[in-house]
This record gives sequence, C-alpha cells and structure tokens, in this order.
Amino acid sequence: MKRYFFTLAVLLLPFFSMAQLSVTFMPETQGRTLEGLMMARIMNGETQRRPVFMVIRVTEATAGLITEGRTASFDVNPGLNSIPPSAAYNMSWTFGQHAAATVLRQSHYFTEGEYEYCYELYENDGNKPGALAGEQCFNYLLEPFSPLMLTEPYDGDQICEKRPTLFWQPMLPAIPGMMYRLSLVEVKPGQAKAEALHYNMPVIQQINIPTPMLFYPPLSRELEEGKRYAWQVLATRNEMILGRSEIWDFEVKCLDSTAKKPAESFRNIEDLARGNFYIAEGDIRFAVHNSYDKAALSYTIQCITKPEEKPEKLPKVQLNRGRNEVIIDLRDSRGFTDGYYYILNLKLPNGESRSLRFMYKEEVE
Amino acid sequence: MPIKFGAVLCCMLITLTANAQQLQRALPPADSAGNIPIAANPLMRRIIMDSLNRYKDRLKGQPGISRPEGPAAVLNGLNEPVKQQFLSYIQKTSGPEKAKQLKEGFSVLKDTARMQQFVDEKLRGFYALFKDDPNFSKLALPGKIENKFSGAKAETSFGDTTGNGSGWWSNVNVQDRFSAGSIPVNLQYANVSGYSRVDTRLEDDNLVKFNFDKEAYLKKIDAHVKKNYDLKKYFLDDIDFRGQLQSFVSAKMKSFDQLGDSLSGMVKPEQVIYLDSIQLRNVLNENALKEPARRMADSSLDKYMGRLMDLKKELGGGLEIKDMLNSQHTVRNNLGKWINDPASTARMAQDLVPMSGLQRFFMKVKDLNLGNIAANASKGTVSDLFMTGMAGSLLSKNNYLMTAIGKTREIRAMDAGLDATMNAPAKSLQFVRLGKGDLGNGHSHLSVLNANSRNEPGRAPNVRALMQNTFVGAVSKQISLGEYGQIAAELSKSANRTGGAGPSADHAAMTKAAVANFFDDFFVTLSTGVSYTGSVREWGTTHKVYFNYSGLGYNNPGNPYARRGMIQYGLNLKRSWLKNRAVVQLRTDVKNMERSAVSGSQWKNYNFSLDGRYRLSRKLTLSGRLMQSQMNTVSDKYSDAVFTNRKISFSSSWNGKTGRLPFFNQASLGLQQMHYITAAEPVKSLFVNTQVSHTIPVNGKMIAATIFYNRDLKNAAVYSNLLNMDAGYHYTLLKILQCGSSLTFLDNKDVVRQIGVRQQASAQLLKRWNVNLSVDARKDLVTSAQNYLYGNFRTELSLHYQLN
Repeated sequence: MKRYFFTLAVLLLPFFSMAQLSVTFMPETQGRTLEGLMMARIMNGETQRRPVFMVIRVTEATAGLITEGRTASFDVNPGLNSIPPSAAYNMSWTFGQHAAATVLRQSHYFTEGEYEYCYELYENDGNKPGALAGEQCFNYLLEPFSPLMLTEPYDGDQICEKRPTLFWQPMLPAIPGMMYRLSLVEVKPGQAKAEALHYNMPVIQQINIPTPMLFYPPLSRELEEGKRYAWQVLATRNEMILGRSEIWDFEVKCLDSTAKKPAESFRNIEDLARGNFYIAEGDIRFAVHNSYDKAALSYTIQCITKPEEKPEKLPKVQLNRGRNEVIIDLRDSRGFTDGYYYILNLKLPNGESRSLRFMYKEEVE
Repeated sequence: MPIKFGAVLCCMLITLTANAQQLQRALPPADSAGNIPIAANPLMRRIIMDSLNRYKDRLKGQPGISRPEGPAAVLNGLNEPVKQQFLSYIQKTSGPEKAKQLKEGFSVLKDTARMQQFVDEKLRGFYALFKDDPNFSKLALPGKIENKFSGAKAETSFGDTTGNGSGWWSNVNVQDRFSAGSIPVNLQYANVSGYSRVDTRLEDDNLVKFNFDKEAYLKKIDAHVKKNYDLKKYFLDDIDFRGQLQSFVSAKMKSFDQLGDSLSGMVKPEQVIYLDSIQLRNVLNENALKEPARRMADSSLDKYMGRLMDLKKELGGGLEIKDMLNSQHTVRNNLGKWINDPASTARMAQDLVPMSGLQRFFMKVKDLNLGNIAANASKGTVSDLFMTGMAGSLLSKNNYLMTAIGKTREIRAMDAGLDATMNAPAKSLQFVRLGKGDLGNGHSHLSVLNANSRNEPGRAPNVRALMQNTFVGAVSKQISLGEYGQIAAELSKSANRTGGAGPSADHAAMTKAAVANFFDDFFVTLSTGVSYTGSVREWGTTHKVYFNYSGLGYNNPGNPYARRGMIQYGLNLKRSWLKNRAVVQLRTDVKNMERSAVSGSQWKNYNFSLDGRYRLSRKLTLSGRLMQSQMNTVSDKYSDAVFTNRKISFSSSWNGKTGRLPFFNQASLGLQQMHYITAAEPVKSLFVNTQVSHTIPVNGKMIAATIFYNRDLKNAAVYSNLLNMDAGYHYTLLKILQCGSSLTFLDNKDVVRQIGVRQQASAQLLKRWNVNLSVDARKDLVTSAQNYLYGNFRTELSLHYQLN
C-alpha cells in the first residue's frame, strides 16, 4: 500500500507544482497562425508575481517538429495574463525541416495536420531558464480555412436592383460561433475601393450574419442609380477576424431607364422637306404648325431601297392646335432596316402635302 | 504536381519571352507635342522670320539684350530689333544659358542640329505670342499660394439594430484645394466616429489625405498657355506657306532685275519652286528662244540660271518644300486634337512657359498621395492596400517609377468590437516599381517590396506581433496586341524571416534580412499569373482567359487579399448581337486551394454563370441568369460537396404606359438552391424569390412601390422566409423640398413582423447647401429572441456644402 502511495505522490508532485501556472489556448482559432499562438493566456494561481521564460513547441503527428519559439524572461502576475507584446515580438524561432514547417516559416500559416501545441514555462534562475514551472499541451486536428470569396453581385458588374441580395461562399470548416460582417459603401468618382471603405459612411454595416448571404437590410436606404458601391465581408468569431474577402464593387445602372437621347431640336417640316435628306435614328422629329383643330396626323412611309418591304405598325400621332413638335417613333414598328432609304408622305390638316426622304438608322446602346 | 509546375513554368516562360520581345521592339512614339511633325527647315525658318520682321514694332519698349557678339547665322534673317527681342524671349523662357549660347553664335555648341531645332521651336513660340501681351514677366506660371475650399459634408446616423451601423455614427468630410507655384494639391480630412451598440467606447478615426491633382495642374497650365499664346499660330496655321513662298521667290527674282539682268518674266516663281534644275534650264532656254528681242548671250543665261539655282538652294531644294507643305497638311488635320487636349498643351508648355525645376518635375508625376491612402499597382505587388504614408508614380520618356512608403492598417473605427487579427495588424512597408512603359499600357516592370512587422497593435490589442521581415520581388509584363487585346503576365516571389533575440537577448542572433535568402523555397513562395484580354469587333465578342498560381508559403504584405496555395483559372466571354440588343455573357472560374504541404487535400471551388439579355423593344428588356457556385472538400480519400449555390432567375425592365401614365417596372423571379455546412448542422434551402418595383411619374411627382419576397421551400434557414414591402409617394414641397413618404411592411416568418413609415426629405439651399434627412420607424407586431437583424428605428442626416 505504501508503495502505491509513494508512486501516486511521485506522479502527482509535478502536477501540484505546475498547477500554479496554467495556459488557456483555443487551437481552432488561435492554432492557425504563428501570431495566433501568442494569444494564449497564462493563469497564475499564486499571489506572487513570477518571472518566467516560455517555450512554445508545435509538433505534427507525421512531420515531427514544426516550430519552436523561446521568449526572454517576463513577469506573470497573479491572475490571468496575456503574453507581453515585447516578449512575443522578440521571441526567437526555429523551424523544422518538413514542408509544413517551410510553409509556416514563410507564411506564418499552419497547413493541414494533427498538431500538438505545447507551452512550457520555466523559472527565471539567474536570468537563465531554470526549473519547469508549468507545461500544458493542446491537440487539434487542423483543417485550414477555405478562402472567403464573394460571389454576387459580381466584381465590376452593373445591376439594376436598388436593394440587391448579397452572396458569398462560406468560410469552412464551420466552427461554432463564426459569423460574418458585411460593409457596403459608396465609392466616390476617382476614389480607390480601399479608401472608400475607410473614409465613407457605410450604407450597410451589418454584423452577426449567420448565413453566407444577406438580404438587403430593410432599414438601410436604397442604393442610388448611377453610383458605384464597394463591399467586403469579414468572417469573425467573437472579437477575432478570421478571414477577409476581397473588396468587390458594382454599379447601379438600369440600362433601360436611363437610355435617354440628348434633346434634339425640332426643325420645321418645310425646311426638312426642302433639304430632302434626313437620318432617322430610331425616330423622325419635326415641327409643324396646325391652324385647325386637333386631328390625327395622316402619313405613310414607303421603302425606297426595297419597295416590296412595307413598314407596319406605324404609331398614331395626334396634332394639337398651334405649333406641334412631332416625334414619329419607329423603334417598335416593323419593316425598317438599318441603312435603307424611306420616304415619308404627310398630309397636313390644311390639305397640303409634304414628303421627306430619310435613311433609317438603328440606335446603338 | 507535375501539371502545376508545368503550368507555373509556362507562366514564367511567357513572362520572360515577352520580356525579350519587348526589348527588341521599341515603343511607338507618343502622340505628343514633341512629335508634332512640323518639318523644321531653313525655308520654314525663313518664312517665320519674314513674318516676324513685319511685326517688328510689336515689341516696342521691351528690354532687349545686347547685340549678339558673334555671327548667330541661324538668326540672320531677323531684323536687329526683333532679333534682340527674340533673344530676350529665349532668355525668359529657357534661361540665360541658352541665350548666351545663341549670342556666341553656336561657337561652343557641339550639336548644331539640335540647337537649330531648338531655335525653330522658339521661333514658333515667339511668333505665337499674343501681340497685345508681350510682357515676358507674365509668362511664368503664377507662383503665389492659393487656397480654395472645395466643400464639406457632415453625416450622422442612428440605428437600433444589433448591426447595421448600429448606435450613433458620424462622418465629417472636408475637402480643400491649395496650390503653391501653380501645383494644385487636394486635401481631404475625414473624421469617422461613434458609439456602437456592441461596444460603448467612442470609436474614432481621423483620416487625412493630400493628393497632387494632375488633372487640375494640366488644366491650369493649359489655360495659362492659351492666355499667352495663340496656339494656332504656334502650329503656323495662319501662314499660307504656298503664298509666302511665292512672294518670297518673286521678291528675290525682282532683286535680280535690279542687279541689271533683264530676264524678268522668263521664269515664273512657281517654276523656280517646283521644277528641278534641268527642267528649269529647259524652260529658261525655251522662253529665251521665244522672245528673240530679249535674247541674251549664253553666258548671261548661265549667270541667271546660277542665280536661280542659288535661290533654289536657299529654299532648301524640292524635297524640303514638299516636306513643309505636307507637314502643314498633317498639322491642320490634327490641330484641334492637340490644342484641345490639356495633356498635349501642357507638354508644349515646357517650351513656351518658363517653369521651375519643381514645376517640370510635377509634369512627369502621374499621381502623388500622402496620408491615409490606398496603393494599387498589380496583384503581385501592391493591390487594394490601405496605409498611412506616401505613394506616387511618375512617367518620364516612357520610364516608369512608382514608390510607396508607409505603415499598413486594416481595422476601421466602424469595425467596433473586433480586436484581433490572424497576423500582425501593422507593417511598415517600402515599395519600388520601375521599368519601361506605363501601368495599363504595354510595360515591363520590376518591383521590390520590403516589410517589417511593427510591435504596435493599434486597433487589434489582442494580437501579438512577431519580429518579421518580408521581401517580395516581382516582374510584371504587359504586351499590347493592338486590336487583338493584351497579354499581362506577372511573377512575384516572397521571402520571409521571423524571430528576435529570444531568451539569450543576443541581438546578433536576430533575424537577418529576408532578401538574403530570397531564392529559397522557390515554388512554395511563388505567385504567378498570366491573362489575355481582348475583343473581336466582327464577332461582337470580348473575352478574358486567365491562369494564376500561388504557393502555400506566398506572403505579400502589399496585397492583403493575395491567395496562398491556390491554382485559379477561368474564362470570361461576352458576345453581343444586333447592335447590342442581345448580349450573352459566360463566366467560369475554378479556384483550387491546397490545405496541405504534402497531401492532395484541397478546397475546390467552381463558379459558373451564364447571363443573357435581350432588348425586345425600346420599352421591354428581358434577362436571365443561370449560376452555380460550388465548393468541395477533397482529400486523398474523399471528395464531398460542402457548399452549393445554384440559381436560375429571370428579370424584366419595362418602360410602359397605362392609359396616359408612363411607368417603369423592374421585376425578377428566381429559383435558388443553397446548401452549406454550419457548425451545428448542414443547411439545405430551396428559395423561390421575387422582386418587383414599379414607378409611376405623375406631373413631376412619383409613386413607387417595391415588393421583395423570398420563400424557403424547405424551411431550413432562420432568415429565409422574408416579405418586405414598401409603397411611397415622392413629391416637392415649397419648391425646394424633395420629399418621399412611404409605408413599410416586413414579415420574417417566426422571427419578426413589422409595420412602419419612412420619411425622406432633401433640399437644395442657397445653391451650395444640400440637406438630406431620412427617418425609418417600425413597430413590431410580432418579435422573437432570434431577431438580431431587423431593428425598429434608423435615422440619417447629412449636410453637404459644395463649392463646385
């Protein structure tokens, strides 16, 4: 029996001696980068401040040693401690020879693997590492995050919706508590997207989005025609940014609602008829004086280039009393071919006739 | 693996081959004032001088400089007072050194042809000076300091949603322009501050940006040049060369008569100009035979012929005359373009206007930004980088230089509640890019970037930065294929060193510069890409194909969004028919991201979309979209779909009429499948969604209604069953107040149901002030604990003062 007690005492001795310093570490978020390892917290259960040296050793099941970092001495106060910034900044690092260690050395990111993260704390013995004062290891099967990528509206696209739904690809593997944040800002003319995100007041600044999409927030004012907007999504967990998407932009432009031709003057039909040549880009415009009462304009159009082609579905035009600015819109009529010549025969309310030869040209957007 | 390396090698070869090709092919000359093909020859010089001599009194009272000491032969055609004024003009516009060289009669000059060209250009400038403004002291660009307040904007908003810019936020933006020595600089100051609902601490960002306004600078110079010079005269548009030539030759021939020859009228001036020596001799002989009364001895004819040939020599021979007349034709065809383009006139200004070294330097500067700024060049160098520091670029004689120095920053004041990032939040960074050709055009550039992490967390106090030095070197190449488009290729390589002195506190053991091991781990730290963008007008197509590779260890602090361990390729094809009435666009994009340095474990992404649009008539446009976005997790043993987003949607835009009332209607209907993995469970949704917005303008007022409805047929996600409606009336009050009043209704099944009002008002006051106010207030009819997206109140107020 005594022998068992002795064995138990020997086994528990290091535990009791180390239990005074313990480490809190969340490998699912903090075990992904070298900087993340520094977010571990040290708990000092004693009432005394303790100067310690720290060694962080990360090994992978098949690759062996990945990295080892050593700090200079720093004080651990009673209670929960962060690693002091200067101790972290001045740590020395050695890296293993495996390809996974090479990637970490170059990029500070851990690749996929079965990792063991060990934190060792040593007493400061005459400004040299002394006895082991605490040790704690954490195991985690790490799967690196997929890239956070936006999907819709596409980068550089033109959209018509004033309240578009925004989509992106989720960042996986899904870890509990991960949410998305979305910012959408107007981009002023000549402004860079990255500047717009920092300088401008967001139209949308939505946090706590659980899904990889956001219906346009009903309380946000709608987007404006002709303006350009930039947006970005962050993946977060509590206070930590786990990933950022690229910054994409799009323009709100409804092609059909804005396709307005510049104002064109209306030349008198007498002048036009004399000139006997006119280019009708989608429509024929002229001014005519009507001294009589309201009446429908009587007109016909014939094709000169191919007389067998008969223009159809010509619009009805109403003449008012006085000066009329007439638009005969041919866009929705049939039988008009780009580049062909036509003749318009008008019969004015006073009985006079006018004819106008014109070439039809289709509008180009 | 071999495929990957093969593709990367292919990219590298394209980059290097393209580089070799570029070296052999000189860039075509820029269409600049320096290349304006005015044939500078003695004849033209003579004509200008004759014109100047006729205006000799124009510069009365101007201080001249002393009489030239040496025989400045090139100026011999000028009358003495004009010559003095011309030298004075040169002294003012090009400095006393040039004037001195001219005074010394070119005796010290080695490159006479260059000096003659200089004189020709100066003569044209002197000729083009406005007659009534010959005060040389006013030729210099105004040097006084000017300041012009451009405008200010203040915005404030309050909202009670958990997110959505919640809490109080305000943004004050002030813009100003000042110029010193005619160099305009814009100043922008922004203060973003507020309290969020997740963190009651005041978050505050003060952002300042100075940027050199190149466009304003060119316009300023353009206006100054046009104020002092008649540019049509500079291009000698007012000179009738043919007529001038004839009158010059006639005058000379008359002088022969005064010398005692009586062959006047035997040869016409045009014949002297256009005929060669043999033809001229024949004409002379023929005419002499025709008029026996005036028959002369052969010796006299020879003597006369000799004089004609001297005159012809003075004209510079037939070739130069042809050159001169041709060049005037070309100039006249392009005159408008050269004179009306500020970039072109500003280039001319360097010869016409005295400019300081700084002013000349800023002519070459493309952009220069200082303060809290963004830096952009290319994906393998700096891209979408926000920093505090300086970034600028210049282009001189097709030599490009870009530099950026500063400290990167990521988290904004608006990101309240976030205090940690995955990497060092701030790095000090130095970047240089140089080479031939401008960014955006054909170019060959070499870039280097050096970055050191900073031990200052800024807005991320929970991050512990590590001592780190990163070096990136890149070769960028763009080749223009003319109408066939362009090929861009880039090869970027990073190297990283991490670590400080550690427990030994031995600073000698600290990290060496990363550049010392730049070529280590080559493929792991390489990023390369090649793309081809072009169009075929006959087919109505535009297209882009691209391939990018980046190693798992690639680390570029200049591009915060650079991907690691990714192979990406894709195609973007757009075709239009019937003069753009029908458009089809296809996008495909594959992104495979490695997870492991040794196994084949990957995230495989595939995106496909097909968009079509057909303008049925001027009133009705129909469009459709077919889209699929998918991500698979792949290992050596399995492949599983972890995200799928499939969508088919149709939409229409309709400009129609109901009776006499026109309307604009925009509607869409879609079916969407969305599957993804969450920490709790997989979500499998099937959405039907529709959106309709209808606008009716009525006598300057407007009625507008919008309905958005999304139904999850599988009821899988919390926020998926949403009905959002609003209907409103937009009107004008008191002639200046544009108002909109709407009723709103929102129903998110099992989460929240709200009804509310939205009121907007904006006014343009005293021409320069613009005020906008909006209030959206909603009452919950039903609510639940799950509602953290939809608040009850939001108001925004903005006040805008604009000078321009």
